[in-house]
Amino acid sequence: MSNSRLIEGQAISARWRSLAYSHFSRPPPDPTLLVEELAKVLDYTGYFSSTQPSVDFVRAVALEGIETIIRHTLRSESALKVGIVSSNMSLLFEAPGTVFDDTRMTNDFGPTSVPITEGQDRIAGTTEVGVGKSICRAGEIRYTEILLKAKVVLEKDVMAGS
Amino acid sequence: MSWNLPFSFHPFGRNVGEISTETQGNTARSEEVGLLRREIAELKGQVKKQEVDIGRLIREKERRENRIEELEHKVGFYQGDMQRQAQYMRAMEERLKQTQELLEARSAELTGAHAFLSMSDDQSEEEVLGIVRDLNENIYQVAVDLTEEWEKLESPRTTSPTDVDPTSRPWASALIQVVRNRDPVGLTFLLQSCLCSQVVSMASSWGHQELGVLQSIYQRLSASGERHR
Repeated sequence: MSNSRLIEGQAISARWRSLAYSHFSRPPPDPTLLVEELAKVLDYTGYFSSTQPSVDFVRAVALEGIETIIRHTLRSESALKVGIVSSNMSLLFEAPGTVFDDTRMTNDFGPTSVPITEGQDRIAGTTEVGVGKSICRAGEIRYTEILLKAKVVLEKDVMAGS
Repeated sequence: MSWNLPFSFHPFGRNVGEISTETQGNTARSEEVGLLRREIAELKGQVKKQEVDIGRLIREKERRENRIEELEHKVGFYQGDMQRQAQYMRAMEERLKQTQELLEARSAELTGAHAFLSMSDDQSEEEVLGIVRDLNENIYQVAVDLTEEWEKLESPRTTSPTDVDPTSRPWASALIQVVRNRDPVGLTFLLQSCLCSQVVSMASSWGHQELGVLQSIYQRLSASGERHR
């Protein structure tokens, strides 16, 4: 690496890291948003009313756990963006309703990967987030190396169980 | 003229014995006078000697007084000097303390600058994966806790299940059908899906709003690193 390139990289890295540090040193977000989203999920069950708000239920049962999740989310994002600067790593999440692609569960996939959507299975939900590393070597197409696979529930399995 | 003396006075009227006695008396007195004179001379000598001694002692006293005065002056000077030295020492200690604090601050800044200037990773991939695994574990635990408590709800359904617009929520419309049948496993999945969606949304806020500049920098950094890998 030439000296000027190295300095350029360091300058960007320094600015990036200093801004990232300042970003992650801010107080964690309010857990209210997560509480309300979980309460809406529970509202769909129909077991809560205005006299027994699901929000209070969620707060009573899981507020501490939700705050822990927020802290872990910020910690993981800080690790991904500040701890790792040699590559672009990010959390993986499979959107519900999208067609399940087997190739996304292989060790790496990219634009050239041929999707395997046999049976057109759709994703019901993601139960565990994964981690992917974006790699693009000179002259090559960018692809994502799967470091931790996201876990999903397929619609067909949900329907079969119900 | 004739005087009527009560006794007969005649120089030649005394007898030889009286004269001899008188002579002896004179001799004794002369000797006594000599002795006294010697004694006086001796005493004078002693006085003179003592005067000399006194003079010497006075001079010695004066010399010592001068010496004491000189020493007191020196003591005063040294005390003043010690006070000045103590003040100087305090000033130097203060400066040393300030220098040490400055050194510590600059060292911390240098360490920070090194961290910023380094293009190497501060954490290993395995550490990052461990953090994400912990996150997934916490998501699962919250989903399970809520499901367990939800199962304990004994009251009958008090409201109709809320209608779901699949486009309004990014999570799991298919699971909702299962949940409506009071399936706890389905509810756990649904809660996990909701939490995963929110977590990813929270994390992806990184590149939005005022943080757009960060995303731009990060992309340039990544591109720069990839060019030279």
